[in-house]
Amino acid sequence: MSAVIARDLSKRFGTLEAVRSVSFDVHTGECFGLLGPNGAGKTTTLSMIRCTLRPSGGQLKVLGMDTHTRAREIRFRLGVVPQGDTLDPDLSVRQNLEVYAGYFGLGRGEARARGAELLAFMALEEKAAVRIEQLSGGQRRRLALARALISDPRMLILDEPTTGLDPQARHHLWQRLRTLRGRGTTMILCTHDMHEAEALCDRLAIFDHGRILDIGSPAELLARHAGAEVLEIPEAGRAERELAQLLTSLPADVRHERHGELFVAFSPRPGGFAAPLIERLREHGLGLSVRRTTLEDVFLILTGRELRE
Amino acid sequence: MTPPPRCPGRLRTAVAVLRRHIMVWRRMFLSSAVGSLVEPLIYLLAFGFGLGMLIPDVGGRSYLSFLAPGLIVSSALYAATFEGTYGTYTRLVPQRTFEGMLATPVSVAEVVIGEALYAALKGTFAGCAVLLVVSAFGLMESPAALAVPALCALCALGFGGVSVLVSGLSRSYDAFNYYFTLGITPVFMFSGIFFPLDRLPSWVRTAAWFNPVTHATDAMRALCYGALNLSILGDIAWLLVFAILPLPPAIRLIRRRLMP
Ligand SMILES: Nc1ncnc2c1ncn2[C@@H]1O[C@H](COP(=O)(O)OP(=O)(O)OP(=O)(O)O)[C@@H](O)[C@H]1O
Ligand SMILES: [Mg+2]
Repeated sequence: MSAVIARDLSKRFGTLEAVRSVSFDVHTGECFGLLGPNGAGKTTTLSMIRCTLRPSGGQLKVLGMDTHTRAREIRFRLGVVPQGDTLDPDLSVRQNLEVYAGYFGLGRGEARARGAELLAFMALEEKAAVRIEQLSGGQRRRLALARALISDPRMLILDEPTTGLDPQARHHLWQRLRTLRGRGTTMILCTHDMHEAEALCDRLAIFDHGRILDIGSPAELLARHAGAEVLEIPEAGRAERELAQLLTSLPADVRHERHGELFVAFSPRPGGFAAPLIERLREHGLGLSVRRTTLEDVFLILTGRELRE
Repeated sequence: MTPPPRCPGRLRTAVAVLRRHIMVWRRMFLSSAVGSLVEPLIYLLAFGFGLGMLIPDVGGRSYLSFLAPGLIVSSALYAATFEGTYGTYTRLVPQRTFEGMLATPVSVAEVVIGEALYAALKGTFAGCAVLLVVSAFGLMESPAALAVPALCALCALGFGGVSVLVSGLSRSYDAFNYYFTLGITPVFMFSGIFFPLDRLPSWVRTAAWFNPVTHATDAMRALCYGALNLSILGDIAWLLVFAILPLPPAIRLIRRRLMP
């Protein structure tokens, strides 16, 4: 069964079409990633799934329920880590968890027990009595995740959960998310961190301008769009003649692009860039690199290299 | 296997929201209590004794005793109004408290009703503080004054609801200046709290009839003096309507803000 079924889902804000007729499924138990440049419509899509924005068009079912008619029940089953901070600054860390438990209808004793358990799970026990303003950014994100887990949700909605965290905190959070996925929690994760997407997501949707450009597992997306290896020459202008030579000798299945000084070529097979050619270019003092493709390459190929407003 | 937990009903989530507010209030209870006691004391001394010396009896009683019931009303109305404007707006915009609540089964209706009830609670508390002060001056003449808290609650709920509605319309704290100077100050002044309305031109009296504070003050005098008659029922009916009426549009406005 699918945890989320979206068909021709759209959202308009006045004349702005933030989400334009997207269709996708999120399978139960998987971690589904949303990638895309700023303003692509990721948060808007998540908001419709968690029933805080009403779709302008299309169908949306979450956990088998229609978002139009059963918003409260859907929200009861979800845990949400929103983009930015919505922790309650008038309350302490522990109170944030217990009050939230109350919103889900948990009794006082149960709320206290769940709160203590999650403080331990998120390594926040020492901060239990502290006010939110005294937490660091990483501690806030951890508390946001703890709060999202208070009702033992069937599905988690994570909007950039690790933005601004140091590597330790990020890995700590990832480890927690893996534990949860191991327990069968479905996740929808929106991120700008390609490592995070590779580390956690079973499948990804790449958004741009309110549309989905492609959906697939990281391996599928790599194979479809970027191949196995990439050759990058950041200062290609310094050896145009050698580069022209390289181009004539590249295998037919290698695609290449030029962005100003930057030259990039993608090979569908490993070893697509023959060693002698590369060595010749190196001798000309070009700082080139040949490496495995990553999701970042897929992202840039699909959404382009232009900066967004 | 434990049965799957059920989604809590709206009453349950509304109570949870109100409990959150009370938990926060408890932290600043002392400062809030001191304010609620000292302010009416100052009014009572300044207006009652100071102004009272220049003013002959009003309707057969001292100016102090004429003024006291209105001070209870004004305290309740201002406390509720401050909470419903500055308090609610702070939770709506800079703190994003409501956005946090909407990631749970709490919906906008419960958020707004929770705000109005919290404003009403604070208003009731402030009104009761004045009741204590004026009782200490021996200004309560009847056991009917025991019903004062209920009347405070009714009046404060109305003003709480209107204030939450105003918060839903406001784009910044500055907007509240308009509400206070053009809305609250006139209804406070032309309500019969400070002077009887019956010698004013008839159009003023007509306008005053539409003023909820007039009804609250009339009813409050009836309770404090023990002068109960049928007209208090009319006042209470008026206030009941006033307490309920602002809530549906307030819910609509805040919903439009939170879920565009
Ligand atoms: N409440 C709103 N009112 C008007 N426009 C909005 C609103 N929320 C989002 N938008 C617009 O919709 C578009 C999509 O925004 P959204 O927040 O979904 O982007 P995003 O993909 O999450 O971007 P980011 O990576 O920067 O978080 C943007 O152009 C944004 O300005
Ligand atoms: Mg976003």
